[in-house]
Amino acid sequence: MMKIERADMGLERLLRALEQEVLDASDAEIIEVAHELGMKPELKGSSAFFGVTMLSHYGMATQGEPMPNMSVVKRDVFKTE
Amino acid sequence: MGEPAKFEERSALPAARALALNLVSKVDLMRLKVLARMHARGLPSEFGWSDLLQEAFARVLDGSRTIPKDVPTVAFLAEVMRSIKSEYWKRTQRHTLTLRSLQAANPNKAAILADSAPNPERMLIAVEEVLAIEKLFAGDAPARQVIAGLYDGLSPNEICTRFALSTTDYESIRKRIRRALLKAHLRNPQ
Repeated sequence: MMKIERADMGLERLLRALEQEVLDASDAEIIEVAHELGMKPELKGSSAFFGVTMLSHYGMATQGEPMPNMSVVKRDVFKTE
Repeated sequence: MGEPAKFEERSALPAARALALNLVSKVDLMRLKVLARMHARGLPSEFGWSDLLQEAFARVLDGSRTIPKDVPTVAFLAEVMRSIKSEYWKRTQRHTLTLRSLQAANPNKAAILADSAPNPERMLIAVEEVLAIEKLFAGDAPARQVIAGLYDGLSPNEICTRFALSTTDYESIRKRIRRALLKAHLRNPQ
């Protein structure tokens, strides 16, 4: 069991290390995992990109229609003061 | 000055615009999806990983954050996502402090909140986040050891010494950790 005092600092260190692992992952490794999950990232409209290039909110993902900019709608959440 | 963006381009999600501008590749987008999911845990549930990712792209595209020349785009976007999350927690902390000072001004209502820095809510959520990461490696004791070492801020050499791992063991565990992270965070919710 990990120590829980200042868990935020431990988490920050852990996330940075895991982030580096993801950054270090090769393209081939990522594509291989996507295929194992049944995704076909080489195809346009692949489920690998739900929430990234296509909306995934509330089943709104559509093809061929202009998408509302959800990021702008929600920017208040992340606004800096 | 270039041609004005077409309607579809202007209305597309920021990540899609960045792809169209060749700022990132399709594989980068998958990498960023994994990172956004990792970093969005602990944010309020109504603001998901997708919002965090799109906001990071939006800040780069609108020029509020400039990518330094020597930093790869994906690494920089990951840093922006971390900073957005950190801003959120700083704002939450400020609200807590304001509430505490209001209570101090009104002694009858004081003593509801214990004097506690850091923010106890943040601590609780951090513990939950760590447990969720540990759970990804439930059946892999060596991977959990490495995770514990990273949590403690140990270097790879120190982790190998503490858990009696060879360099080959460590590299093989790192690979398992990477694959588990990719698998858990690329998968779409059912």
